[in-house]
Amino acid sequence: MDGASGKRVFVRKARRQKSVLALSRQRRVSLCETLDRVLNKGAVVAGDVIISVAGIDLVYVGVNLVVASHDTMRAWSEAGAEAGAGAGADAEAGAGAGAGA
Amino acid sequence: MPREGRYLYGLARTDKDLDFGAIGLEFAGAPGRVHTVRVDSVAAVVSPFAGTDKVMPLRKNLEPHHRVIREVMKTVTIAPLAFGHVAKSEDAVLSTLRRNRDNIRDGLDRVDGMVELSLKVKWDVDNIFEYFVGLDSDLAAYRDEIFGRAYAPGQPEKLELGRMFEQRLTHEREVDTDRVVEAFGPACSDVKVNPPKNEKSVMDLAFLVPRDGVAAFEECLSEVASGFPAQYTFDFGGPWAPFNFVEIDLRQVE
Repeated sequence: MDGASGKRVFVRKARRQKSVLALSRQRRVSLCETLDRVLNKGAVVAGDVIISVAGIDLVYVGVNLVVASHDTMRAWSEAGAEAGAGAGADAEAGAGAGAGA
Repeated sequence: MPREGRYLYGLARTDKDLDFGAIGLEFAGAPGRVHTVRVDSVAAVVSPFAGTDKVMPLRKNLEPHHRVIREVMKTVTIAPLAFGHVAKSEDAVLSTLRRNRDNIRDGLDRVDGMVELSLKVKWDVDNIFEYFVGLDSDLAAYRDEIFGRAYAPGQPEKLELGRMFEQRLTHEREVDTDRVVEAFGPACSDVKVNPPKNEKSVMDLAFLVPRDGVAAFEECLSEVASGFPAQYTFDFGGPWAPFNFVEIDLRQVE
């Protein structure tokens, strides 16, 4: 997703010349930050007339997981597959998060 | 034939009806036409959508949602709604606007002509614990004491060390956050302090800044950033629609 533009400002002090500042800027797009705003912020309208999609919080957790920690999810599903039927609940949770993204 | 509802992107103040073209969520196989539904000077930004469909938070839906907000904010100030609002019909949108006209107007007044800028400050160090041990002689002394003995430290001692670290971390964050918020005070009309998302995060701030004050804010940013040690990185983002400053309390249907 093409997020809002961003800039990262690095401030580095030269080790020997403490007064010299090397300041570099770089445009940056942050998917995480965009998702955080689109899903987690903004006004919410409640009631019968306007339906806020059910389960959005649940799915938000799923999106977060995929963005933040793909490795963790893979580890989960591998662990779930190894543990077999006994770990059914965990495997389902992993699959649910995957479907959410 | 599906009942034609409306997908809602946000609320805006406008005295005339606006059309933003076919940039909305997909409806009937094509991007929906985004336009305003207006009651007096208060409007909702909407596009056609199946009134009974659930909106899945998929990339193909999230992207147009965000694109519309960015596009609309070039023309008018939009108070974004969270992703996933669907009204059964345009009449339903109108009646909600009518019922909440005053609330919406008050909420929009607060953000009128403003944009949101984000600032995330992090400690750019490999090991945050080592970094604080280097800063705090009490922490260093206690760490050396409990780990420098012939036998391993007990659980209570480790917990105490963890508590001291946490305390120092929290203190450092508070001092730094106060300093940054104060420095940007004149350059913004409001600031929101969001909780840090991980232990290397110093602060996560959102600023409400007048549209024409963004350049001044950026200048201020360089100045503030250069006053911090080299381990601090400043991530600056925006302009965004005022996601963190929308406080519109809409009455539920009675």
